[in-house]
Amino acid sequence: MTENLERARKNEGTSQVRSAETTSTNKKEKPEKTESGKRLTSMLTNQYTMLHQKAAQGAFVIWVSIVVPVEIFYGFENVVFAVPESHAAMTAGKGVAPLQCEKAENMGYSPDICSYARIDLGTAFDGGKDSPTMGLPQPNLLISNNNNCSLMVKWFDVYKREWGVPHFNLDIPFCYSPQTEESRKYIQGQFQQLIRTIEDLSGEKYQPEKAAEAVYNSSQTYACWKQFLDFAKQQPAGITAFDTFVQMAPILTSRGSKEVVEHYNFLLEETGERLARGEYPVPNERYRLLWDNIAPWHQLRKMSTRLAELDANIVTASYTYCMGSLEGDINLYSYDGSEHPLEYLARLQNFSVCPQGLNLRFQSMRKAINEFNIDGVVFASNRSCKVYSLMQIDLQKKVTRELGVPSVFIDVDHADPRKYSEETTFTRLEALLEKL
Amino acid sequence: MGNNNAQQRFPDLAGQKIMGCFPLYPPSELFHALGLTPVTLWNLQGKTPNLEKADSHIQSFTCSIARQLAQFVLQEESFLDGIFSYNACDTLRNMPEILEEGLKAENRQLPFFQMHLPMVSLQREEAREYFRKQVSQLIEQLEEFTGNSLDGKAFQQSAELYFRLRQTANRLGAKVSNGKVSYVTFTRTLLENNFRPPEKQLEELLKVEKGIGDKASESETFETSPPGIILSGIQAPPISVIEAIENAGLRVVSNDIATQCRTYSSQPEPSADPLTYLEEFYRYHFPCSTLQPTVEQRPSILRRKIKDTGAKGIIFSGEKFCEYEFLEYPYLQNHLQKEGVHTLTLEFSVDDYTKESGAHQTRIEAFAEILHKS
Repeated sequence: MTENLERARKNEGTSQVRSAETTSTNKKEKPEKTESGKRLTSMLTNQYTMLHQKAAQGAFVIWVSIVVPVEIFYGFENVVFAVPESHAAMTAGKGVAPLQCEKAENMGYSPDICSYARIDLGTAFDGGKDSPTMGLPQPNLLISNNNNCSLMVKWFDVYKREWGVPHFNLDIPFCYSPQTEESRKYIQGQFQQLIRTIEDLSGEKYQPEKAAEAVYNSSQTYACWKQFLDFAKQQPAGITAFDTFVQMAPILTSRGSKEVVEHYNFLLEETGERLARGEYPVPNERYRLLWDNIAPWHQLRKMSTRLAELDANIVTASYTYCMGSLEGDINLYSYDGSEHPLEYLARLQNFSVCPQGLNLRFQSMRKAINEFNIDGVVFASNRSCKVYSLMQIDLQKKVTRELGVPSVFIDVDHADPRKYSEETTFTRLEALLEKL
Repeated sequence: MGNNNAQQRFPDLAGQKIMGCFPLYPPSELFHALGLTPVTLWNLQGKTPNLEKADSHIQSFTCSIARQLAQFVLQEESFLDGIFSYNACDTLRNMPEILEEGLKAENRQLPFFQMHLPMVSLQREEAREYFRKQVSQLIEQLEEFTGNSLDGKAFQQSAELYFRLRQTANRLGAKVSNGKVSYVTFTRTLLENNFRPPEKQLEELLKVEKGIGDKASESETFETSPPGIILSGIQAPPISVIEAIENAGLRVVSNDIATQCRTYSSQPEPSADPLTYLEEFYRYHFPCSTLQPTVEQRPSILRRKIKDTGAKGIIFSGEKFCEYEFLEYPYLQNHLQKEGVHTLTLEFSVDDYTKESGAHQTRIEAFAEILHKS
C-alpha cells in the first residue's frame, strides 16, 4: 500500500486508467474518447445548438432547475427548456468557472453563494460571453423548485426581478420520512397548475398523450441508468463514479426524449462489450469507494486518474445512484403505465438526495455500501451546497457506528476550483486508503 | 423547563413548559394557547459560550443563527420541553435530525414537531389546502403532547396578547424613528425579551415605553440632526457595531431586521379560528427574504421607510452564509443607489457576535462621511 502511495506521489503510476469516457491508458496522453463519449458530446452540442436555434425562431423558452418534471414540456410543440445548473457544471468542467464566478462577484454577489448560481449569474448578465455553449437563450418562463434546494428559488428570482420574466415555483415538501400521499397530491396539483400557466403564457394547448410518451421514455432512461450503475457492482468495477458523473448529463438536459434512451442503450452495450474483453477502468482495483456529494466538476479527470494510480476506484456516488429511485432507496422505481404520468412524476420528486432527511439518506447509503461492496466512503463537504453537506457529519458517524465502514471528510466546491486544494484532498484520501 | 440550573439561568421562564422554536416566524400563538411558552431560538449571543457541540455536527460554513441554535439545544440540558421547526431555509430544514442525533449521543431526547410552510403564495388553492392540513396535523400532535385541547377562546386570547406585544414593539420602533429612544436601547430590550414569556415581554416593553414618556427627542440635543439610516437584514448587527454606527454620527431611524421589525410589524386580526388566523399570518406577513411570496414587496417597503423617515442611507446587516439575503442585496443596492439612496453592506459571522473586533469601524466611518457630505 505504502509503495503504491509513494509511486502515485511521484507520478510514476502504471495502472491502466480507463474510464467509459476514455480509452487512453497513459494520463500524460490526451485521452481518446469512447464511442459513447463521442456520442454524448455530439448529443449535448446538438442540444445546445438546437436550443439556441429554436429560441431564435420564436420557441417558448423555459429555464428549469434539475428536478422540475421536464416531461410535461413535451406536451407542447413549441416549448424548449434549458437547465442552468447543468450549464454551470459544464462550464466548470471546461475550466471557465472562475471567470464567470468573478463576473457575478464583481456585481456584488457574495462568494459564499453557491458556485452554480454565481456561474449562471455571471454568464447570464454578460450575455453568455465565455460560456462553452454561448450561454442560454433568454427565458420566457422560469420554473424552480425548492426540493433540491430553495436557493434555486432565490436565484431564479434575481432574473424575475431584473428581466421581468414570470417565475413559477414548485413547492415540494422535504422528506424526513417517505413522501406521504397528501404530499403527492399536493405536488400533482401544482403540476396541473404549471400546465395551465404554460398554456396561458405560450398560447399553446397541452397534449397529455405526448407528455405521457415522454414520461415513458424517462422511465426507460432510468431503467437503463440503473443497469449502467450496476456495472460497478462487479469486482473490479466495470465503471467508475466519474463515468456516471459524465454520463448523467442527458438525464438532466433532455430526459423524456427517445434519443436519450437510445444513447443509454448504446452505452450499456458498449460497456458490456468492453468488460467482456476484460477492460476495466481500474484493473488492479483494491479499494472500492463511495462518493457523497455533487461531482467535483473541475477535477473529474485529475481525481479519477490519481485515484486509479493508487488502485482505488470511486465506484458509486449518492449523487448518481439516487436517480430513478424513491427516497431512501437506490433501486429503480419502475413505471408500467398504470399510474397516471403526473402521479409518477410527483412520486419521483424527492429522488435526489437533497430533499431527504438524514435517516433516509443513511438508508440508501447503507444499501449502496452493501450492494456495491464498498470499503470506504468519501464525504465531500461542499461549501457551495449546504443542503447536501449539512448532514454529512452525522451521516459519517452513523456509517462508522452502525456499518463499521471507514470514511474520510474532504473539502470541495462542486464548481469553483478556487475553493479546492488538490494536495490537501489527496493527503486525506491517501490517509483513508492507508486505513483500509 | 426542568432542572434548577436552567431555572437560574432563565428565571423568567421558571416553571413553564418551553417549546423551542426554530426561527424565523413560528406560530407562537398556537403554542401559547395550548399552555406552552414559545421561545424562538435566535438572539443567542451571550448564551452560547462556545460552539464546540455545534461544530461536532454542522460545518462552519453555516450561519451564526444555525450554529448558535445547535449549540444552545445541545448544551442546555433540561431547558427545552420540545422543539418546533419549519422549512425557513435550506440550513434550518436540515437541522432537526442533526439535533436529534446530537441529543441521542448525549442520551437525551426531545419531542420534535415539524410543519411545511409552502414556499408559494397561499392564494394558490392547493397550497392553501396543504397548509391548512399541515396546521391541523400540528395541532393534533400538540394536543397529544400537552394533553390539552385547543380552545378557540384561548387561541383568541393568545392572539390578542401577541397583538398587543407586537403593537407595543411597533410603537417603540416609532420612538426610535423620532429619536426618543436610541436604537441600541431598543435592540438590547428586544434581545433581553427573547427569553421571557410573552406576558412578561409585554410588561417590559411597556415599562421602557413609559420610561421614555414625553422626554425630548435625543436628536434635539444635536445642533444639526444626524443623518438617519435604516438597517436591513436577518439579525441586528452586534451591539458594538450599532454603537460604532452611532459614534460615527449616524442615527438608526428604522429597521427591516427579521428579529425586530419583520417580526412585530404585521399580524392579522385576532380570531378564534387558528387555521384562518395562521393562514393570514403567513400570507400577509411583513416581507422577508425567507418568506418567498412576500419578497416582491421588500423594495417598496424600504422605499416607504426611506420616505417616511428621511433616511439618507441603508446599511445591509448581512448574515454570513445566508444565501437568501445575499442573493437579494445586489438588486436592492443597485436600484436604491439609482434613486439616490446610499447603501453599505456589512457581513457578520458568528465571531462578530462573540468578539469585539472593530473590523467594520473604518467602513462605517467612511460611509458616515459620505452621508454627512450628501
